[in-house]
Amino acid sequence: MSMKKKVLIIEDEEDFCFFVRENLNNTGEFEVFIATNGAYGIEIARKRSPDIILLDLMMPGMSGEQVADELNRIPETSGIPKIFLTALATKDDTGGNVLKKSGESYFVAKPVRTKELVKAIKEVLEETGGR
Amino acid sequence: MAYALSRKRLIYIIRLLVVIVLAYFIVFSPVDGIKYAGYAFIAFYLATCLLVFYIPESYFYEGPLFYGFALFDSVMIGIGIYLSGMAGTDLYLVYFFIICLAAMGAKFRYLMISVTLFAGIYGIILHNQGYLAGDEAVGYLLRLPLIIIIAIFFGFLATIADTDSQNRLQETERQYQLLFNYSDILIFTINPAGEFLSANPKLYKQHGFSSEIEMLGMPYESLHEPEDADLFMGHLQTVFTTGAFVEYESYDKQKDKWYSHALSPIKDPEKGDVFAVGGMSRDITERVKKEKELQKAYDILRETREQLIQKDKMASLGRLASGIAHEIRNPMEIILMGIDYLETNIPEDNGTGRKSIDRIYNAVDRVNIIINDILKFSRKTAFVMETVNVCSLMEDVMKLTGHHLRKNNVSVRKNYPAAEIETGANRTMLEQVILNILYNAVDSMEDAPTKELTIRICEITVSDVGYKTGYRQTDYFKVGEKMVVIEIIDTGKGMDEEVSRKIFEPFFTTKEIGKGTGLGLSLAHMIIDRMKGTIDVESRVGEGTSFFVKLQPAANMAYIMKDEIDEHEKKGLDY
Repeated sequence: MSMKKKVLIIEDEEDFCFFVRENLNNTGEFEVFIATNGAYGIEIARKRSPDIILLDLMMPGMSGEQVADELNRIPETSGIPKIFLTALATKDDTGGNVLKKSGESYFVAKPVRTKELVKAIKEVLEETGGR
Repeated sequence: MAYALSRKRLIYIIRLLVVIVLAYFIVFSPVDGIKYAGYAFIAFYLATCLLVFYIPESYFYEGPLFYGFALFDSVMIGIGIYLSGMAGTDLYLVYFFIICLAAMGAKFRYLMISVTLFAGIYGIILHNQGYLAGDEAVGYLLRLPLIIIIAIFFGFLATIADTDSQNRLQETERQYQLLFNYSDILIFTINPAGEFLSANPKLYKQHGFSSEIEMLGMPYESLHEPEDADLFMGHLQTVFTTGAFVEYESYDKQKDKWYSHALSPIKDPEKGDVFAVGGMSRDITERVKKEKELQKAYDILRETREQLIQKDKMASLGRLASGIAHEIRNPMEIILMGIDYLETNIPEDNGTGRKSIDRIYNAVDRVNIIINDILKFSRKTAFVMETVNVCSLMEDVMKLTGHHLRKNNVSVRKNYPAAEIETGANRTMLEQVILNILYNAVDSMEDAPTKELTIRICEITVSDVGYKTGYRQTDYFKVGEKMVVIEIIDTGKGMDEEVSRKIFEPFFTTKEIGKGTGLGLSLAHMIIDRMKGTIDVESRVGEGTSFFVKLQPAANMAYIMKDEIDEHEKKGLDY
């Protein structure tokens, strides 16, 4: 692995962010940034230009969808692949897969284990050209 | 009865008056020599009067009694007049009391015999006592025709009155005859052997006879179906032995008609025992049909109401589920990620620590499964419906469960049709439903002596009567259209009615905690409902349970998809 992939997590649950960061860091393959609300997330995305953004759909204030729209509007962040994290879907809906693609968006159903999340991130990075 | 008593009393009073008048004349008679004979006579006559009270009432309505009295009293009054020695007085007028009495019998001829006898006796007495000789002989003699003329007059009055009442009686009888002959009711009398003693035209015509005579003596059994005859003979015996009135209803299979019967005992007025039974039967087919329709409508209404309640329950559960799913899943995500984090910090050789991690993970997994199940109640996700070959789907499911079935020594009997049967369904969901039923079946047969699973698949036309009992008439299936039926029958311990009724309710389970969430069958119900199908259960304790999954044929795909498309469009971002 030549270089650590930069992952930005935009999610209001701080504890979740903490563990995801620790777990992803532990794999040694990722460098993780955290934002606990949408506006801050957009700012960090612009500043750090991550390789991939994990975006919680349901957040107070700006929702995941609004954040995504905003990110897509901004030229320097529009090309960053995004995975929506949702607590409303189940694995059965995705046909047993953790990752689901619907239109241009990727979804991961909560709850998810670290290795599944890592697998999903890698799949999306591969599909979007591994930038 | 009041009339009978008054007639008896009347006779009693008249005779008593006669005795009193005779006694008066005898006691105050100027003739001395025959006094004691006179007293004896009075005592005797009085005794016969008192005896009247011991004669049963009914005899007072029969001719012989009156004329017996009239003749007897004629003689007695004659003797009385003779004993008083006062034949010349108006004592003979006492006899008119007796004429009144005898006139009640309304038999003119007998009345005249009695009167002639009295006139004769009186004539002899008058002659013996010398009244017929001398100046006033003609005056005394004229008394004899006078007695007869008055008797004729009374006799006529009585006869006219009697004819009148007879006419009235005839009219009443004619009305009864009309009722008997032209009524729509079947009327008959029957003896203890069950042979007809009478039958009205409606009845004998119904049995193909042209007159009542032909039907008389015919046994009831020879004219009716054995079941009907047995029922009738049973009730007939009851009426004969108990003397009670019996009402019952019967069904004539051949004619497809319902009858209401009333059997009434006909009692001997003297002895009081039942010597025949009078019966009336009425065609109540119309009424019964209406009642049945009403019952059916009521059943459908109740069924629909129960289904609505069920659907409502599911819907509320769905709303609740989607509401809490997010709230529960977020902390669960933290727990999961936390376990992953801790796992990396536990050394490989710390067995207990690793095991603990696994256990926590399993517990989280269980919570997750329950939430997933609950969440399925909410219509957040659209079903993708496709054409599914039911037999091949069943084969796939059997492959999945093959090991489980063998392990539990369950033998399987398959009954698939030669032709392919296709339904419109979400394949994965339908698989899940059938898997659920199969696993339940295997569980229920755990301690059963025979462990046999019968799986039948067929396509039938929906009939009005319904396919087997337990068929629920829902709006999904229309009479005359096709319906795909999957039957899964086990030989397990079965369920009582109470459990059968609740089996599709969310969180209802008979299994121990941790073995079932109580959502499997309610989910199955919901899933099949979304495919515009129904799922029913039929069960007997100790014998086994049958599940009937009824689905739409693939040809109705547009109908099956109807609501799914709507849901999908409404949601926009559906995942």
